[in-house]
Amino acid sequence: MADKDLTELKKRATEIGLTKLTDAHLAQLDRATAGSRQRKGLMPDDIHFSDEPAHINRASEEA
Amino acid sequence: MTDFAYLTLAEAAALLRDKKISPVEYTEALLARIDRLNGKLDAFLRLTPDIAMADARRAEKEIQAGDWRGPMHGVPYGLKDIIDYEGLPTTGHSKILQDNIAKADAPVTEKLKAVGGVLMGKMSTHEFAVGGPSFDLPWPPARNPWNPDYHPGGSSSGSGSALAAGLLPAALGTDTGGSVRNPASMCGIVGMKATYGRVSRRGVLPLSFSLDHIGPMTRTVTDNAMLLNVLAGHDPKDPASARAAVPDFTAGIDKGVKGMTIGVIRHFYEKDDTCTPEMAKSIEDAVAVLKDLGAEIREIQVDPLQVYAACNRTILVSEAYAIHEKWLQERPEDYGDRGRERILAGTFIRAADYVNATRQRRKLTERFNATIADLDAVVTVSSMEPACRIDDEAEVDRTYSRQARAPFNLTGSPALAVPTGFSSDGLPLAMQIVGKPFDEATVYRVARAHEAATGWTDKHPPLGD
Repeated sequence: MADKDLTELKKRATEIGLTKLTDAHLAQLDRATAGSRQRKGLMPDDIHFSDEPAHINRASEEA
Repeated sequence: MTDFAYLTLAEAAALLRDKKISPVEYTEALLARIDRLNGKLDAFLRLTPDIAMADARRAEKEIQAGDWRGPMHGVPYGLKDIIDYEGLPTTGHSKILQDNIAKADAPVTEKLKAVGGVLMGKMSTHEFAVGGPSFDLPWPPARNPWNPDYHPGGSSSGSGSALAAGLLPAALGTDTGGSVRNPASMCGIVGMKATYGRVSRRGVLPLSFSLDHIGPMTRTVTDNAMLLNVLAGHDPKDPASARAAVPDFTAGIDKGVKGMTIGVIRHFYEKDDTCTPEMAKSIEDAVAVLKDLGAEIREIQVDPLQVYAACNRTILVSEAYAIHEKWLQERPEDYGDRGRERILAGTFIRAADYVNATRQRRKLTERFNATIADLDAVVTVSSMEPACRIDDEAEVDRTYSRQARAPFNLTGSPALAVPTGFSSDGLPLAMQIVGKPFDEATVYRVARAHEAATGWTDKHPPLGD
């Protein structure tokens, strides 16, 4: 990982409270984030604006 | 003399009920076997011999008094160490929770206590049911009894290992992306992920709320149905628990598959991904057996495996990160490398991407259920290959996602892993049998027909005893 990329990733991590990650942890975060981005690319972009999520709260069920 | 190691749950239950064996001698025999073999397998993270003997003595007294409470009465079992048992640590196999004492029983534990089960111990797992196999945790990873140099699958590793090694006839695992069915597949045993909501998840360390399932693990199909009979049922305090009626899952289990229509999803392992030739042949052999037994076989097409996998993982790591964020902020060094990296995958997933994955999940589920509407069950691969060496880091990582179990965590369908033979290296091969929501009974019926015709679940690993 380039120093510039590491510094940028550390900044992003720090902003969300991940202040104690070592450089080795940040390298893991970088790899894991790349994997998540790749997975996002595998999902079809065919969702209609009215498509609902899988889990919807139902008042009668939750009461 | 009774060979206690490989008594099935059904056999043990009958012998205990008829007072032909005692819970105390059964428990003592398995504790002695665990003492001999656990050092080689590390299936147990924590043994509980005092609890086991107290449970066994109580069961013995009750059975002698004519108060037999059913098939688990006096039968040893193990709990994956993410499931609460009051007064014992629930560690998640992690330094983070090594001193976490459970304040109450999980409902599944309560149920096993109520029917007189004998707790032998807490079973090894991947860290928090996601990070493993790992050698940088407070306890070693479990190993595969078929070859202890090999991974037993995970994350319910200890449960799978102990069952295959004859250390227990029954154990619980959990399954968020395949973690009951993977060790079942790698260890040559039977593992069920029942319908989402069928078994309470309360009192179990969560990994991903909308994908987590608790599941029975056993050596035979009938045993598995017997254990699900104990575990299933509505829990009003688990928001995902279903109010569905609970049948006797063993009823009709031996009725065979004649007249059934069974789908086969080949594209998961022939096109979307590629399994080993031995694995493919074992599944084709299983399909041929079902056909010979009178089932109509129909090849079906569902969405590509990669889409299910991406959707499952996006949801899983998003929810897991939300659960673990505070610990990752405060003590990231206390995770093992593998667990930390897998959970960090959720750090920067955008809210919109998570929501869209849940929307995609709904579409995938609707399409899957529509495709199987006129089928009785579906057969497909579980893992693309048998177990790999546990110390081969690269191979562990390469094979981690090469599986077809995650689709059924998304759809919530009941899915059972059962043995289909052995590789040329002597490692177990397996398939999945998948059913319609809340139709575990048909899944068991198909599995039992295959088991009775092939005898794969009668095979046990060579442990030098």
